[in-house]
Amino acid sequence: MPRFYFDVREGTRFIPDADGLEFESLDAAEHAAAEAAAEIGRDRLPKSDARDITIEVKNEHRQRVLTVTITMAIHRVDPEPLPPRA
Amino acid sequence: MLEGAAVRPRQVNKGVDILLEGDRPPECTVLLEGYAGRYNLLRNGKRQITALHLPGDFVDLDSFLVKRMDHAAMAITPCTVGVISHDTLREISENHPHLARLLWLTTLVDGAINRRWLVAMGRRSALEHTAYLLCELFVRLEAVGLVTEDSFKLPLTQAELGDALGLSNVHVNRIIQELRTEGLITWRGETLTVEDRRLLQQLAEFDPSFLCLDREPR
Repeated sequence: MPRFYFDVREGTRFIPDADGLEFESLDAAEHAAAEAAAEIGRDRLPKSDARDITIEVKNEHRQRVLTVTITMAIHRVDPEPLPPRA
Repeated sequence: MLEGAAVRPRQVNKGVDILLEGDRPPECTVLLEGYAGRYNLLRNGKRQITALHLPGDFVDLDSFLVKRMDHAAMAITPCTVGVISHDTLREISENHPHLARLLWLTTLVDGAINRRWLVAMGRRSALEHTAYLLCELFVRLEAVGLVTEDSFKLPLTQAELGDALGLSNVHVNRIIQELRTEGLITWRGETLTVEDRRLLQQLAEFDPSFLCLDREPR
């Protein structure tokens, strides 16, 4: 089975994958990357400065074959609305 | 101590089921060598490993009283298992109250471990949860003499570790890279070395007292 590498970028932080994992196809690797991106996003986005998590999937020659990005966007209403008049 | 009462030792190959969900075994199985896991399968094929067992552990003490298995158990590595019949366990529990208390304690410790897993799975980050599981395995293996110079055998694949943590294997892969980069562990082949036990335990908020490994009258 082909080996894929899953490097994770969380804002400015980069966590390279030294080991890689075997998947039967690129489709299977894509599904695994999507699942992991959602999990990592839920885990990391609310408590770090990073606003997006990207998983770069590379093939056995370390060539990038796909990326998955999860973004959290927070928009505050500015100016804050005034309380309604009685 | 009860391992001595286990009879009919047999080998179970890696990945093979020791028991299936729904079985009604007439005996309880004790793990003598190797690592085993209890698990439940979902209809979509996903698996949750609900407990990891080490030499000396029962993989199904519950079958003595519950009768019908509500989970399966499989050999994570090649295992040697023995059995103690329910009749023998009944005799032990009726005639040797201190051994009955020991069996009771075993189920309580299993329950305490399950609670820790639940807390970690529900409320902790993936990094803290993984650190917790490694601390737990370290202390349990140390108690049975299977830790040498802060290293122990961790023969689980990342997918199996993910099934125990409730995380995808790519996520587990990222967590392992982070624990390694932070200098907390190294994991080569099947050997996991805890490089900084204090920091790992601190990250995991790990206090081993729930495992009741200290000797005191019970």
